[in-house]
Amino acid sequence: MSSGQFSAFEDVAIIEALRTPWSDLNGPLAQVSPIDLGIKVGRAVLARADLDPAAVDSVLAGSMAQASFDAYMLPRHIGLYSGVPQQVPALAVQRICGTGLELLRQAAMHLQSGGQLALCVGSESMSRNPIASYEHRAGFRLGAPVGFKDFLWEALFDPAPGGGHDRHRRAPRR
Amino acid sequence: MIATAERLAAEQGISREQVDAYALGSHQRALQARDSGWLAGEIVAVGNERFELDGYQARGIQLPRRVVEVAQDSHPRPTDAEALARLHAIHPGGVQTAGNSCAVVDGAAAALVGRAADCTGSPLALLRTASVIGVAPEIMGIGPAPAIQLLLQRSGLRLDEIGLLEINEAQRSGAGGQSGVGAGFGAPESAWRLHRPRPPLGGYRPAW
Repeated sequence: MSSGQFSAFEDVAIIEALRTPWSDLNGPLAQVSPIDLGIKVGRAVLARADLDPAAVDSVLAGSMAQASFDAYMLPRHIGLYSGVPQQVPALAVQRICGTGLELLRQAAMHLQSGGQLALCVGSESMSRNPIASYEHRAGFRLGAPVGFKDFLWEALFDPAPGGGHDRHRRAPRR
Repeated sequence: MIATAERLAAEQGISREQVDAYALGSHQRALQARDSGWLAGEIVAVGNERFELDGYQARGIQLPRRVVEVAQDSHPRPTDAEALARLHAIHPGGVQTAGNSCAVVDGAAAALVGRAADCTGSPLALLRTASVIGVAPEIMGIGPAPAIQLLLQRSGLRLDEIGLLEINEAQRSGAGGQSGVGAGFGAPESAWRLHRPRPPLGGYRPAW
């Protein structure tokens, strides 16, 4: 029986790494798209390593929330606006809390299969998590509940084990 | 995520006092790391900036008026056990509060992964092994414990050969040495601290 996945890597290195400051919810980064935060660090890490963006042959990016209307383009825009050539593909990686580590694992597997240099970017705007509804495409029926909820709060709840997130919640005081 | 942490806390007998004490240490270590300049090398300040791309619309970063740049982490703060103890648990009767849960923050990080042989200087790190394993959804925060066990089993490394453990787990009751993840792979908390050559931030994480 298979139980988990394990990989051993030869000659795979983290050449350079950096980050923005972590800025509290609704702080000065609250209005910045995670794509632009990602471009910022993508450009900065290439500059610090003194590497030509054209040497990158894989762009891997992770971001949990959809925090702008161009959210689908997050990995692609991070690559392109960091100077990575158009022919180089970009992929979104998602393992919730483990996304950052998973980016590095995916990069190592890329190198294992012949790749040369992966740009990995994790970017998140908690502040720009939307207030969202999934049920109003067809409108609002008179008297029916309005379905808008805070994605940032609701996404903390896994309905599989259940337990009723709303019923037990007490809004944290700030 | 909070419900998961509460289940783990209940299962493993982790008290509010233990969770708060860990959070206090985490804030103190983070402040120490910030003020001593330990973190300066990994942080790039964010200011207003325009990102040009030939033939396409420019993008960019526009900070609020009167903010010139964002240069430091804002979440770690001076606090004490009494202040943390005064905060309400998010789930009534639980152990997780706004003070001992992970920071809810905005930001980004980047890494370049390439061949060690191609590095002109010395790389930051070598990536030797990786493991991934699933756990029950209701206690997903325990994931690092079996993942570490799998990594040790398959790599042939022993825990006492590991000089530094950094565990990415958002809620304190999911991490920890004497209980939670630590107990799951057999590392007493005292051993973590002794073996850690740099200020461990513990639960100080911008993760979920």
